Amino acid sequence: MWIQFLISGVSAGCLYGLIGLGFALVYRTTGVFHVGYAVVFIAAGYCQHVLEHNLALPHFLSSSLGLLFAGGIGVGFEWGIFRPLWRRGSTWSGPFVASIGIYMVFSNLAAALFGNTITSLGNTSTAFLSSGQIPVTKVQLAELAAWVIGTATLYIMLKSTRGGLGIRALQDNPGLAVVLGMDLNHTRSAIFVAGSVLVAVAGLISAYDIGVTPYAGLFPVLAGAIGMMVGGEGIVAAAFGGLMLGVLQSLTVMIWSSSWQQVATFAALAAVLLLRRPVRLQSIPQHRD
Amino acid sequence: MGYLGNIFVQFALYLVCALSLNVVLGYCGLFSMCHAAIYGLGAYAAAISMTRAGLPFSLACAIAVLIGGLASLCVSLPAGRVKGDAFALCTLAFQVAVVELLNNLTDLTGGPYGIVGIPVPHLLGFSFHGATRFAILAAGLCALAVYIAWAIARSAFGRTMLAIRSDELAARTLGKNVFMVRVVACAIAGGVVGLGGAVYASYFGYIDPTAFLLGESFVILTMVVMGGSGNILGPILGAAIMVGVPEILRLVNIPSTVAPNIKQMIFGASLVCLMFLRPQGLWGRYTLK
Repeated sequence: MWIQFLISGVSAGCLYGLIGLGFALVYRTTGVFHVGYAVVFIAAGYCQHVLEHNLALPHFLSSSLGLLFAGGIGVGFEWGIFRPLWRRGSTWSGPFVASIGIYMVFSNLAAALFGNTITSLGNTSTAFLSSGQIPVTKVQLAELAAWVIGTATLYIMLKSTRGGLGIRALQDNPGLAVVLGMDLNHTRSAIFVAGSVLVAVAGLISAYDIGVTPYAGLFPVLAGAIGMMVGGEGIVAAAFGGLMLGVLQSLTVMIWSSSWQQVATFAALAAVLLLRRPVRLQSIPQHRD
Repeated sequence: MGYLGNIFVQFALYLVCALSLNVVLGYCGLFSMCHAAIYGLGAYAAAISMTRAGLPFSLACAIAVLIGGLASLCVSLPAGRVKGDAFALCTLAFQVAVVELLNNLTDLTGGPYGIVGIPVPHLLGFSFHGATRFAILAAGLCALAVYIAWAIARSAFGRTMLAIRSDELAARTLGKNVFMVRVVACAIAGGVVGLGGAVYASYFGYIDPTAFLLGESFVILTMVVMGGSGNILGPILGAAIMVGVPEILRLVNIPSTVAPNIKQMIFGASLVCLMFLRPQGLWGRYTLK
């Protein structure tokens, strides 16, 4: 019995980890506490639904276009809202309030367009990969694969590529990075695209699993942010923090009930705050363009 | 008269929430995202006191103030060590956890069904039955909340909060206990919003967890950001706008199915626009950067 809980905890943790990666990528480098990721999380699912059911596009193509759309939305927020705010000298509270505004506008737009009921992308959650005492669904395997590929790709990119070096430079010392000739706008756009795609992948898999609703993105994004705090310093650590959070939630379900999952999330956050001071959780100073 | 009375009561309840959040955001510079949860805890404390224990309204209000203050302590004691986005994340998580508690502690709170039959308040032999009579109580609540906000703003404690908000390091150098000031400010704000919750419960006669969701915390934040923080007039203006916009939408004949979504979209878009055009809000002193 416990292994089933572990599998479901790991699969949920993989989604939180992916979101945590996207969240940390943007937060650790630009200082934006991006609540608006909740919109990116649902965007891929809704786009896939419209393309497949209304325009009758093939399944794979509609999913790919859904991810592209969500990535585009993510970079659109950076171009249209955050970059002009940085130009005006905003540090963290301006972009934070703006991202809450983004969430309120687009989640309610989705509610007005699609209704508050669940939009399903197909009954894939019951498709089992293995039968017997420990059933693993295809969606759970997809979650694990996405987490492994996402984490490994980001790690290699950050460590081995010139773009990754630029992102780490922006994280460590943005002022010096600009002085040494780094294209700040280009790097930040790349960060927002990569972060949004990671969150969108999590959103799309979740939509295949349980469907999508207009307000479904906020709690996973919050869990991803808490996963980032649990993981500690660094961008890739957020993936492991999210994974741990998923397992903790699953253990809570096993010991008590599913109703107490979010209380366990809060308890994890409180424990992190009480036991160790979060490193670099304060806003990262921004630089005018 | 009943219609105007109802509008005024709504304004009074919003005003109490906005003035309370203003103490935390406007004077301390902390983004509390759990005000709706503490408001709800105050409402539930009063409702349970009146329906289960049969206590009079005045005692129920005192208990609501106490519970509101204690709940604020619960979140500010671990979260008071941090500020900025980390504090916002802690309060976000607390908001989610409280709603889950309200849903799960069914023996005490009635779970998703809530509490019905909350009695009409009586004070000094006078019954506040109906919207028009209740408006008298609401006016008293407004006066009390404004007086508390005014007294805090003029006190040495209020000036200490402003000093910490402006330059935390300088305040520490002058021997101010930043952590304690933040915790006490949060407790005062929690007590005030808890009182507002008690009045809310007795006005509507029925409460359930859906009235205190995260979206309500966003609405309270919107009021303070829109009207402006760091003074008393900003939250008053914010509360007036919050009550006025739905009434204007009603005149425009927008379908009732999408009217709440359009209201939220207007508020979200206003938040984004304000961060560009007037980050201190329409009538505020504290500029969000």
